[in-house]
Amino acid sequence: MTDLAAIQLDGLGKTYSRSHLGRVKKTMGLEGVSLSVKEGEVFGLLGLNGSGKTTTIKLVLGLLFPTSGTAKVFGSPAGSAQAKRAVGYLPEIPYFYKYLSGKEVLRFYGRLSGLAESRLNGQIDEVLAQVRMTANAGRPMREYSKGMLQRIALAQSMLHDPRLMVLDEPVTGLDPLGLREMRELIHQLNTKGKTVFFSSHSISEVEKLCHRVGILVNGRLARVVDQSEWKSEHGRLEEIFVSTVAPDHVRAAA
Amino acid sequence: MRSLLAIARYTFLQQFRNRLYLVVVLFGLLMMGATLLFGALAGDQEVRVILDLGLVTAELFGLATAVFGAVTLVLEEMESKTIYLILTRPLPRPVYVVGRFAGLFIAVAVSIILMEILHFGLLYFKGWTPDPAVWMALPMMGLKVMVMTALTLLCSLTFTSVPTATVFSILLWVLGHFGNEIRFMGEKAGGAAVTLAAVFCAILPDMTLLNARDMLDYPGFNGSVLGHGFLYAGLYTLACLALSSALFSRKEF
Repeated sequence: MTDLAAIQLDGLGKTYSRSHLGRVKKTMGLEGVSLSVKEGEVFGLLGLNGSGKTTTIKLVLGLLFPTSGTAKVFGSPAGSAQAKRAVGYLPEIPYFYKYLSGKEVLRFYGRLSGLAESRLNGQIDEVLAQVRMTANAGRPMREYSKGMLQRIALAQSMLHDPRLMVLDEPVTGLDPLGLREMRELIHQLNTKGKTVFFSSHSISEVEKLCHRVGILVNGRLARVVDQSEWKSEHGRLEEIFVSTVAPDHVRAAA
Repeated sequence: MRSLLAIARYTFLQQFRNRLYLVVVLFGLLMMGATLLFGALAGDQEVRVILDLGLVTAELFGLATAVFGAVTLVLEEMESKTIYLILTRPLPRPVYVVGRFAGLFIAVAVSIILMEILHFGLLYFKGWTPDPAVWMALPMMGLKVMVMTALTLLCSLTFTSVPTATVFSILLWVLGHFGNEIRFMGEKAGGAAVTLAAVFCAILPDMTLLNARDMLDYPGFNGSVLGHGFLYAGLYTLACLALSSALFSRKEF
């Protein structure tokens, strides 16, 4: 472990510009987000649709470039090769090359991640066993079910043994068994010292897994909640979330 | 280098397992076989007709594979978001562009080689005497395909839709054969049109420089044409790849 924050966001902002027939339309995606995620922490991002969760994740991954502020991963600028080496990413919907088999896809991503040939096969076998896909790894991906694709997506994110796992809505669309497996996996990864940063709509899952939670409202980080604030009372995180994203709703209910 | 090879290798594999690619190659092979029929109608020019039609078929089908491959590879990858998992790996974005180009070009070259094996088999069967000029036409065809692959890749990164990028690439390919005519029209119009036509022609790929097929019987057709073609195609491809890399490096996903 190092003293460096796994993720350090300082005044991070993103404005989307869309131009049509010479007219430029600007939309604020994220504004002035400052946050520090410690190494070894499980941090959840909560927010309504369009609140900026995916924008934050994409900025951390370097898929988007900030319009203001900075994002760093273990001290390196987000999107730099050094930062990317430390990150394993699980997208919300697993998209893959349907013409390749599960094993071919993993070999491809392993090589792109810079894994040495001598380590590659061993790592692939290990992650395939971890996500229980060893038996189906040779089949073309177009024959995979949604659950199998999700498992391969998980396998590729763990392949290069990253220090930071960034998961975009990892529990969305999972059946109860899948949900349980995902929860166990996040827990296992964290036990091994990995930092996990994920976005979710599921307050109950976030409540079970996270050390801290950030609540985004209209592109701004409205509140960061520590586990100690919700642990003592069941349903407390939901109350905090609702009172943060919709204070009027809470007042009306009272 | 390892990342570049990995991207090129999987692009080749992806193309080779793509049904559209296989159908185009199969159709090209069938067309190549059909040159026998056209040859039979040509009387004593049978071998010449099979030779010319075969070269045209290989080039057209090679170009079709290159254009559709280059357009769909990158744009579909952006649309399907498979690109997320590549760009979150520690590889510079230009490596992705060059790797995609290399893999696709090799796949197209393989399709042309397959068609040409059949073509020369047919010619041999018809008693054709090998002509060194024809052997020079083949690498020139490869250069043309290389230029078009790089240019289409650039178009696919400039435009956001598959149909626009395809139409634009094909248009550039067609116009690339009419550089002299465009310059002539500019001169006829006079004034600023002369400069405009000259600039436009400098941007367009000059396919006439690589049209070895049409120069086979010219007395001046020799090794220097091939050297000039290699230099031009190499520089044009490099320029397209450099521009594509610059565009791609600034792209957000």
